[in-house]
Amino acid sequence: MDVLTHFFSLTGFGLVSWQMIVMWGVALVLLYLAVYRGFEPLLLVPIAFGALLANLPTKGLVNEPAGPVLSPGDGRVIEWKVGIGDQVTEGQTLAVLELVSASGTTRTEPLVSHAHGEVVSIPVSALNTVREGEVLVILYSKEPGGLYHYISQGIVLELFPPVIFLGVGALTDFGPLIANPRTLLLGAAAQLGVLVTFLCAYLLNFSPGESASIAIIGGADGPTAIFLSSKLAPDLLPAIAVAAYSYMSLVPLIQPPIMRALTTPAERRIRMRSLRKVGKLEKLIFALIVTVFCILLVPPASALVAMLMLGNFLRECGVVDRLVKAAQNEIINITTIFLGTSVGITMTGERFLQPQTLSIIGLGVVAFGISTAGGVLMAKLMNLFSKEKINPLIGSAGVSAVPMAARVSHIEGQKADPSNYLLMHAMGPNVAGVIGTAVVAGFYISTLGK
Amino acid sequence: MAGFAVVMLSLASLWVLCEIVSRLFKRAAELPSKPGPQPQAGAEPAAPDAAGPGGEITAVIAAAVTATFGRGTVIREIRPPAPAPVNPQLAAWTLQGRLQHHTSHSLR
Repeated sequence: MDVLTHFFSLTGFGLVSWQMIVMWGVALVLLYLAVYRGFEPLLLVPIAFGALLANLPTKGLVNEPAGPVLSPGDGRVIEWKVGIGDQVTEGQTLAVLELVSASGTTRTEPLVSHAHGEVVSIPVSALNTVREGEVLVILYSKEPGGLYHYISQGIVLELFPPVIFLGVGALTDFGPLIANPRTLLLGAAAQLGVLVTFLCAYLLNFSPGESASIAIIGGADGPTAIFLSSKLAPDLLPAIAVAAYSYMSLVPLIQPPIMRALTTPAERRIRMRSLRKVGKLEKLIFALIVTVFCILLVPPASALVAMLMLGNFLRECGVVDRLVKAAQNEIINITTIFLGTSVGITMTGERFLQPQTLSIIGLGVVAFGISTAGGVLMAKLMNLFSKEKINPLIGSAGVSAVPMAARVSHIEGQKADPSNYLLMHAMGPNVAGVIGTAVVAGFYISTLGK
Repeated sequence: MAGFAVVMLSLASLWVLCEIVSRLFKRAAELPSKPGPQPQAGAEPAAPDAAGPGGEITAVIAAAVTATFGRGTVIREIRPPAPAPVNPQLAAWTLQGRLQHHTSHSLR
């Protein structure tokens, strides 16, 4: 009996909490939606599987390695609870800190160990002031960190989203946009939802960084949402990523009612002139212009814009076929697996099962809806001043869910006039929206980032 | 709304840049091509192309034949009509055209 009890204590059963069980249900729902309903399976399957792993008592999967323990804020060390040579366990209190917030209020907080190990150095004595990020104590252990501690560095170090953008650029044809460059304005107008949602989130007492991270869901761009959230609101990253990818897959459901409500049957039947052919040199020049201009305008968006246009330049130059194939396939697929699972592995019950998760999901719908409306209304506005009319249905494709939003515009156009082919026209604002979302993200990082 | 203004201005600027580039390309495409050697005075005009009409016209003719006679009709040869005195059928086409034009008006 003692042997059985001892064995049971070594298993993970005793570590299962109610939050974990609830999150198993959430992960199963996401897996069902992805596998059987086709909800953005490329990202939702890894995210959901990562969420399942995050809510199991794993060992050697997510643990951080021993090393320096940093101060979580400005303040001072009140009292040390350990000394040099002491063995500590993960979660053990190492010291008591008095931290000072930006507004001047003080709070007492324990300094908790992130790993098992031995205390080998305490550079800061008690009652000394400390700065955020300063090394307070150094732990040593032979055990390395878990698998996903290292893989997740791709998100922490902001590597994965730009690498995915390399693949996106290699897969994207900017020809329809170059042939009709005024559709850039539709891509810009479709960012309206991002900016309105920022205000709504701020009014709901989210911080500016959190509000921006929630609002970027309206851009319908997964890598950009993850890039911005990991910089400005890493704690909200799981909820934002799940909301962003879920709503991207719901574009065919969310957009059509808004498009029909804002357009008349006559407007939906507008035929647009066939697009001219765009040559290779023009596409190459476009890639260079966007790179230089956007980086000069919003330097914090450099990583996203540079990789997007690098991928596109590789595609259009036509002399690096192997590199293009790698970017379109192996690179983006590997990165997608690691990005998705790394996002999912942050979806612990403590983080996800919070009231603000529901707010994020609600605000995501608001962002999407207003972005759709923004694109459609901009097209109608442009028609007031333009001899060559734009079918306003393509305005909704400024929401950069490529190519789904363009397909939705095409299908709605076909319902009004079966012989009207809007797909290639809608691809213009669709890919313009990718550039627009990256510019918005860069703007938020430059104004709200540290 | 500064963010909205930034993104609108930046993409509008990209639009302007793209328009400038596309106009440069259009202008380059419209530049007249080098003129070929002028025919000498008194030289006979080149004979009509005996090989038949170009690709587009062939496609149109094939479509018209299929629409009129149905699928499975085989076109063995397409050649331009000879002038009217040589080919009386050409006069007949012209006559038919005039007939249809005159009968399309209703006279009081």
